[in-house]
Amino acid sequence: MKHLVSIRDISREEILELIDLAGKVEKNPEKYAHALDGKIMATLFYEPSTRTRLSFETAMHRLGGRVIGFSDAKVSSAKKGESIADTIRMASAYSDVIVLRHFLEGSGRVAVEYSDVPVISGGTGIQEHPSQALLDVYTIYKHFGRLNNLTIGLLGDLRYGRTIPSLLYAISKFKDNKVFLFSPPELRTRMSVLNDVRDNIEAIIRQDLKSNIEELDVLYVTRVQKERFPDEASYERVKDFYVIDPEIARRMNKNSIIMHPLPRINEISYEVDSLPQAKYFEQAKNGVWMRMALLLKLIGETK
Amino acid sequence: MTDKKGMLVSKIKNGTVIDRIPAGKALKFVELMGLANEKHTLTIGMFVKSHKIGMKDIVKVHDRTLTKKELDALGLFAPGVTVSTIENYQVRSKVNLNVPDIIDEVLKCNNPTCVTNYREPIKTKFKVIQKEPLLVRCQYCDRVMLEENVLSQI
Repeated sequence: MKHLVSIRDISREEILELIDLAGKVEKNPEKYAHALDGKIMATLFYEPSTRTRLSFETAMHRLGGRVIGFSDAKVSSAKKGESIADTIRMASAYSDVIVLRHFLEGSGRVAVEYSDVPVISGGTGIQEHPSQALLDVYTIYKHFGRLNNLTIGLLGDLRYGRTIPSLLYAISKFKDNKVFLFSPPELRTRMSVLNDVRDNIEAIIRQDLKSNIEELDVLYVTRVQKERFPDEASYERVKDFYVIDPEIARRMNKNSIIMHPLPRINEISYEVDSLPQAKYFEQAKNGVWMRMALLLKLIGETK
Repeated sequence: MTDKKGMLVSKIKNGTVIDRIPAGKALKFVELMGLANEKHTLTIGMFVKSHKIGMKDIVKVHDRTLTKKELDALGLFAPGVTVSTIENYQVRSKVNLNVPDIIDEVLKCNNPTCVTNYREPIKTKFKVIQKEPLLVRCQYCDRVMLEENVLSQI
């Protein structure tokens, strides 16, 4: 594993190794406090981000490394019209690892072609968000002790949410998983993504969450964004349909979990936060451990 | 074409012979390859009787060979076509074109937010994931294009 721009590029074994390493780091962070002393991570964020950038930066700091970069394309030379290729060449000369978030699909692949150092996608258009998927499977693994034989419900914007393809690709590397895809018809998972995973995942497309809620081990909620709809009316029609309130949460299995890549707006009500199923804040915290593992694996001496 | 009754379309000294073009498509093909705007002599035969495929078209381009990009485009447009390179009246090489496995440069990705549609120093690259009917996948953005999206471009 040299870069991480798509979960499709990595194997099940590599995912399990990362989960194992993230677990070790979480148990004993002090042991890794100087693992990346003297290393520099460049964060090139052409799109706003809170969690992804902060958790990558925290991860690097906790490993003893330093961080350079920008978090707003307006202050970078992208505004002057510099290509991704040129920016990457420059950043790869200045740093030991690059984290790139860009609004164009395929930007991660271009970065890999022009970088001399490992490239990690911090979100690539609507295409993928691989480090998010890794922290998601780490969260699932920590709770269930396995990544096979699970029933997982994905809810919300499954068409444009970049987390969804990455998560499906990760789940598809494991056996006997059943995935319910709950979304309004206009926000269904892209056919090309479904085709990629259909041999390994039993995928069931549903519009209504209510009839299958009891079956789920994991309910993964994503935000339905207003700007994805052609008009206000079609947004209004579906938005409350996908709100998780305590009543829905209580119908879920006792050992099940509710996840969300965050930020949430109103798709999980605040009352759910105190229920045992609510895992999304722990999930966000797991992001730091998993990103530490990822940095160690890509640029650490001992790996 | 080379039967005992003689040559319907005469031999060329140097150049390229594109044979077994689906009957009636030769003119479209000449346009596609941009040959109509070049100064190379063209010999075109249409609705020529063929033992193997009933009827076919044939195009001979004098003093010109085809690039890899042109061969790829031709394979997409008309799989089954044969391309012979002629040197001094002799066939120097002959290939049967098929849909290529990887298509470099020829196609444009129809995803408006694909990085290949922006000012980057890269060329498009598509992987053929199914030949019949054609399905290709952008190796940058993962967009899958259908046969009609592909053929409308060439």
